[in-house]
Amino acid sequence: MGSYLVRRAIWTIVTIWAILTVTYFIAYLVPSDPARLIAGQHASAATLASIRRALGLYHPLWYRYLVYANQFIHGNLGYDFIMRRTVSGMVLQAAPYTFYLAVVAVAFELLIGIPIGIIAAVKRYSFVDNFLRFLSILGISMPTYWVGSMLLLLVGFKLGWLPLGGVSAPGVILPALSVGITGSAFYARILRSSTLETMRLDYVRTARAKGAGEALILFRHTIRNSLIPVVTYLGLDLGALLGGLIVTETIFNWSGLGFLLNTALGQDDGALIMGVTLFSASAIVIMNFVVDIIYAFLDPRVSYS
Amino acid sequence: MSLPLADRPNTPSDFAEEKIRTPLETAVRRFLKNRLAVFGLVLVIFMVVIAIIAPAIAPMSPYTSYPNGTTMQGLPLNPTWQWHHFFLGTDSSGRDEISQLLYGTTVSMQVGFMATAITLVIGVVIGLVSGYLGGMWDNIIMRVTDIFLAFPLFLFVILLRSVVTHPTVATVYTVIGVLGWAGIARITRGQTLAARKLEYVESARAVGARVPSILFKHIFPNIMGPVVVYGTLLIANNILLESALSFLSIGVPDPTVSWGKMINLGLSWYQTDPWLIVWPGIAIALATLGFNLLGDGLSDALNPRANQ
Repeated sequence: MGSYLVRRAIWTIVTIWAILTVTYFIAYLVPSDPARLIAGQHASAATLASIRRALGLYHPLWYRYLVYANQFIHGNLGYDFIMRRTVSGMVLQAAPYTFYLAVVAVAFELLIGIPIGIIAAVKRYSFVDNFLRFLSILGISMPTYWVGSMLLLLVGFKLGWLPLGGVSAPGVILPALSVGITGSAFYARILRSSTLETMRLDYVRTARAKGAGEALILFRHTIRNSLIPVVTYLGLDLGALLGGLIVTETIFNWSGLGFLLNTALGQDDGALIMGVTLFSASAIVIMNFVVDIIYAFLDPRVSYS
Repeated sequence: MSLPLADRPNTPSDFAEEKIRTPLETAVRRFLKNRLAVFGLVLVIFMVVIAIIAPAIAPMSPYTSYPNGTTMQGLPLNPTWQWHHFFLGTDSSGRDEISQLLYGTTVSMQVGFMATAITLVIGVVIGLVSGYLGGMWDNIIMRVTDIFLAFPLFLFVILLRSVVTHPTVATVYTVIGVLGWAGIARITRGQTLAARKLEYVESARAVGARVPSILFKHIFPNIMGPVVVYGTLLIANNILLESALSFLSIGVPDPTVSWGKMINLGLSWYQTDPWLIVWPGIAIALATLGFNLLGDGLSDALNPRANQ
């Protein structure tokens, strides 16, 4: 167990390092001149040169990469000369909003996906099962941002039940629901097949043989076990979840990381694009690590070899 | 007296009929029995045909801002239901909505198919090589694959796409295609590891077949099924990805029409002209639904045990 933990931790660090490196060299391709951004269009060549020297831009690429990596280790994502703020400051301000939205969105995914998966499994191979299967496939076929736009139009605007955007307690419902509707399909399908698998196991048959009612068998014996793959998928799904959040935050003016990224894209702000990407990707890798560790504690069958 | 057909013992002709059904034929029969899958196939064919003939059937130009395409106040037109006169209305720039929708199909299909083709070629080759070589190389390749899988694809695509200063449609599908290889590489590698030990592959090696010939002539046909299923579902995913990029204004460049871009533009007008976000969304959902249903059906047809 201990060695498994250590190996997973080392691997997590290697992955984050790889992401840092790739991100840095991709972002380096952007022809941007921070000196120009600081001094403005009419600065003299001498002024620009002195600013560049002050920023260390005359150092070779590998040296600047090491400087950036060193800053990153210390939690510093650099300075954004367009927004005139530190990247870390903006990212850390936005992150809690994205986290909040993500938690509610996952809750909606499970709230919608779990009942559908169970019903489909109980009514397997029937019309209801086929219909739910079609609904699930339709769910993953709709763009999250379009579902969001439709909710905004119908529930927010036409019915006027919920706010059209901005950060507030009721304002979280529509964006989270957009992600929940499209994301729930995977959970429904995973739960359906794992429930079907569990239903065939011996201990379920034993329970039935002892005369336990079908409802009791389902909720007490079957579902508990068939929920395990759902937990696994929860960890794997974080990347896709983030993708959904990015576009949804844009629609609902939810000032999280996606909104920040969209702002950065709008003004070609390389430093900020890179900062948000790096932060989000690292966060996902770390959360995957945490999920793995929790999973290893919960399920002693996980192989540590 | 002749027996009813069903009660007859197996005659040689019955036997022969059973015998000549190849695995492919069995799969086709199973596929055709699945109504949702057939519906998916019909949708896909419909979308591909529209994508090809869009320029021929579009009633107006999707790029032109028609002077009579907006109201006196400069607002989008409502649907007129006249084919050659703003059938589904116009957008805020006075461009014909139905023509944009038709042209959008072309871009969507182009990106969907091309990105998937690139991904499959890269991923399958890497997976075949990794699985076949085994040992240290397999280990190294799979670790790199793990890193690619850990990096959220959407962020990766956004990052790489954002550094391209003069993008084209090809930029978009190349970026999506090149970055997506890790998933199929891992699947192919697993299948290759299993197929490598099959007797006919070993005998091919024994008679001195060269490695590329073993990989592509002997192993690849054996793992076609999962690749086809994965590829079909990937087209759906790539269509969604392109539309999301275009929605964020970092997809295909102007003046190319894209459904995602149409929704982005329409979102500024949803309170007065909700149709501007309804039509393109339905188009995306239908295209994606077609490929998803098709892929789902193929998966059942090629691997009947997968869904029980």
